[in-house]
Amino acid sequence: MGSRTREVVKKRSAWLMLGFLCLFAAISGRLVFIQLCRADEYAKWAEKIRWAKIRTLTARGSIYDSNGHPLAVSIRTCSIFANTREVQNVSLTAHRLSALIGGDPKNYRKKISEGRGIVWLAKKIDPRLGDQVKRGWLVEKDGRKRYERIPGIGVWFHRKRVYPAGPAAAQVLGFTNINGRPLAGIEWKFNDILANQDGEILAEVDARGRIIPEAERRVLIEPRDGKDLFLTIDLNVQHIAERALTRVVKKFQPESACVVVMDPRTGEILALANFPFFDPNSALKFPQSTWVNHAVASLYEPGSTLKAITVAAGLNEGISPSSVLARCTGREKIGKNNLRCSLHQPFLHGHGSVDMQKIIKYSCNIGAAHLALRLGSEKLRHYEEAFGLLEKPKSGFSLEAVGYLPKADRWGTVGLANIGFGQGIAVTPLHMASVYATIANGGVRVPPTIVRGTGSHGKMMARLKKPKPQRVISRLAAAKLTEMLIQCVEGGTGKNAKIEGYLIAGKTGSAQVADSGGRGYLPNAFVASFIGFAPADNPRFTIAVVVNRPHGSHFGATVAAPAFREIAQKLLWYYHIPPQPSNGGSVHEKKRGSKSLA
Amino acid sequence: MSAVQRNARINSPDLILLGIVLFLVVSGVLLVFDASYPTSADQSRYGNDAWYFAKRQITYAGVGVCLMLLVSLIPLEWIRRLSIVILLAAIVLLVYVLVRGVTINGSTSWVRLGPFMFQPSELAKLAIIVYLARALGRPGIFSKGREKRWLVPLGWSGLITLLVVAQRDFGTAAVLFAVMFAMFALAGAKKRYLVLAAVLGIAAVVVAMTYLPHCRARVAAFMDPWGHYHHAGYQIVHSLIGFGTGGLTGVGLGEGRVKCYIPAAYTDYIYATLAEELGLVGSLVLVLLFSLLAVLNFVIAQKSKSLYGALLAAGVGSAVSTQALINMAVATNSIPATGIPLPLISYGGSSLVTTLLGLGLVLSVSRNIEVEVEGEEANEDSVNRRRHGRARVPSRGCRGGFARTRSDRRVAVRW
Repeated sequence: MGSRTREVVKKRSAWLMLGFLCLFAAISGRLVFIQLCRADEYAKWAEKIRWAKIRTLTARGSIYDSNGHPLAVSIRTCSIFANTREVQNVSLTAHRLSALIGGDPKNYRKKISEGRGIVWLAKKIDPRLGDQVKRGWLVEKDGRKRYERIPGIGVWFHRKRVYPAGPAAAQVLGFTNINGRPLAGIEWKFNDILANQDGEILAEVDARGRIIPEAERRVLIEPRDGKDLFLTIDLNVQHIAERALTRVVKKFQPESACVVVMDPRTGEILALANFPFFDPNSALKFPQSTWVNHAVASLYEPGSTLKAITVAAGLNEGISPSSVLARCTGREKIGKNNLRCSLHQPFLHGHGSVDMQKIIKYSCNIGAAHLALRLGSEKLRHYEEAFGLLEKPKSGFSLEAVGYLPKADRWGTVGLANIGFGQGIAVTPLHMASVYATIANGGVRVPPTIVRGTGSHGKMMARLKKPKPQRVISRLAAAKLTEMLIQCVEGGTGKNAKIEGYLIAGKTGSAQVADSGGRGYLPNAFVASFIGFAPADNPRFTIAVVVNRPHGSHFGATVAAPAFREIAQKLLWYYHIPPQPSNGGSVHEKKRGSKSLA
Repeated sequence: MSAVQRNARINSPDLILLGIVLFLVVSGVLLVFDASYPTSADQSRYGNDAWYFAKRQITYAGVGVCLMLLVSLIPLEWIRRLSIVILLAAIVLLVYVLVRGVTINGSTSWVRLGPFMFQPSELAKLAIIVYLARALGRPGIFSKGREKRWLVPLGWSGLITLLVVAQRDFGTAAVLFAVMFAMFALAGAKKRYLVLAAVLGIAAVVVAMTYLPHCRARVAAFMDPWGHYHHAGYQIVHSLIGFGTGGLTGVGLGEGRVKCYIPAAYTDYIYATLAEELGLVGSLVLVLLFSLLAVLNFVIAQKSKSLYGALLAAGVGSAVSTQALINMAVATNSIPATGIPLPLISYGGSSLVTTLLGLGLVLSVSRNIEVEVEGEEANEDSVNRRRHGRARVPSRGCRGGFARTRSDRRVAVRW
């Protein structure tokens, strides 16, 4: 190499070297700027992008019946949505979605192209379909098969409340909205137990939103599953009650009707059916009036069925069952008010001389009024209170109604006489069922309950605390009253409830409906009811059938008693109770003696 | 010829250069593993093997280092003779890739060679360097009235650059341009031509950025990465976040998160992972190492007694430096994005092996720093002394009487 060439090489090498060094220095400057001066800003960006709140899905507690059949469960489901701003090819997206989850692609295309922002394309679908959508569309690229995310389409996994029994005990259970918030019934009342808490984790995620395993994470909300709830409802009994209720409804088209079935020994509510029915799986499609649990929340004037309390008070106060209380001529003026008895064969001119037995057997209003007058308002009110009419049953329902009864000193003679046979007092069907359960239980009141206990994973772990039983009337008085109620079914107004071979105790009621606007009663509105228990000598269940404003007939004997009979018959079969030769009411006392009470 | 003289002619290779190269290769393998394991462990097409890329990179590095040492041992004269073959091979492969190339990640720049995928554009760099070193390594080619002597090599290397541009690989084209510029400059091209070339090069970049839609998108993403977050700006944003969160000392080796976001974390954006995990300290050390590499290359070029060797060293030096500069500038969003691997560090067999081959050439030049390559001398003789038809005057240090001295045969391997 010549010296001139060498000179050029040396010089230009130096220049090139200098040039590259300058560029490297520039890069270094840029690095200092990015990594020191702007580090905080980038750290903020990193916080924004790299950290995500991850939701852990938990389940709301299930509700089971007494046999462990599910009444309400939460299942995993998902909803598919489109973010219209991110969807790239509308018709391709619609086509792929329809191939993945079914449905008409035209429909999807319309929703995406007409919507703005987040558009829901499918709600509450099979979560497996959601997994498929999330995985993406299978494409073959460069000879490799791989899943490609469908841009703009997202999947939201959530829980859906399902009521497997459909409309059965719907008003008892209540329902939840799409977010799992309870809106009514047990769901609402026991939300503290049932409620779940979805967990939330603040975690570092990768580009696909998955948690980076080794990275730091912070638990924001600890996930917690809801506890299960076990009801006293027996789904079989519930079905029997609802079947009977349906038949009544078909025949008499009432405004509303309800059936309460209780176990008098434990106070457990075995069935509670309300008409009109609704399906909690789609509660919002039904009118709000169908959501009402009439058996617990609606007051009605019980009418003749309340005579049982008046008579129980009389018996407990030592009045002889056979002592004549009044002479009934069909009508009588007490104070300013005309009292009337509804008269049937063979009592077209009044019930004659009336004792307590007759009050129950033939439902004599005048007799009951005179008994009430003899007891006095203080005592009568005491018994109404003791039977639990003036408080909430605290059975576990939401929106329980308190019985309405004015203070004793404001009744007056007319009021006292009316209350004696069930007018001027308003209670709920559950109150009345509880009253008859108390009588059936030998005078010991076990407050009604609907929830047996709590648990998890379908097993009951803890029983709910039960209220203490309280004696209301003596065992003897209860036995005597039971015998009267048996007579009522055997040969009195409750004949329609009679079942051959069994001892049934019960009482009819046909009450007028008070005008909500002011004083007096509506002319053609009645509440027909029948409340009783069976078998009378060893009661297993108390049934109250209350039919509000039936058409065609308004007598408890014709409207409610057949329904009672149907339910009682099926329950006797259901509980495998053998029939016994009918020999009057004397069996009852004999059996009673062997049973321990209180 | 005495043994002393022989020793003076053949030096040991530049051990500092070798040390830096080996250090970079080893840290590259580590970084490739570090930046690739989230991807390879996650994806079934890589067998869910966290070591998938690291294993391959170790293989490439092994092959590359062996080839580098081998090349550093063989005489430069052999390379000189092979350069035309290498050039033709590069041109054939570049044409082939345009016709039947394999498309990966949207760019058609791969050729299938048996079980391996090969990038001809990487070979193109090497080919241009060895060809230009041979073609320009004759003194006086820029003398007046002999424009053909430098226009022909310019034409061939221009053709290669155009073939690379045809692949839409503008990054590599820029590297080739830089190499050509450096080698022409070193060979003694006139300043006004160099200025003209620089102006034309800048103009080409401006035109491409203004008119090519593909480039315009990248320029837009360069100006406002956040505005193009869902498309071209995504990798830029995450790369910058990596640099930013790295701060002064970094988050610690293996603790980085950029690799979980950027698909090219172990190739074009491997610098972001390094900067995130080792901080400004780590990223500056890498800049320093590459600067040192450039300095060593150009110092060898300066010291080399043969123009051929000087051109080789300067060509390889500028190729490696330009690639490193472009890669770092892209990762730090200093220039619009273009896909260039970080030499010796990024994952990729073609790039690693060809870079090591080039550095092997430089090592060879450093060994033969005292040797004047014969062909060059002969040419110089022919230029200066119009040898044709006259008696041959033996050159310095050679025996007289023979047309060829075969000096290379006497070269002993000394290390």
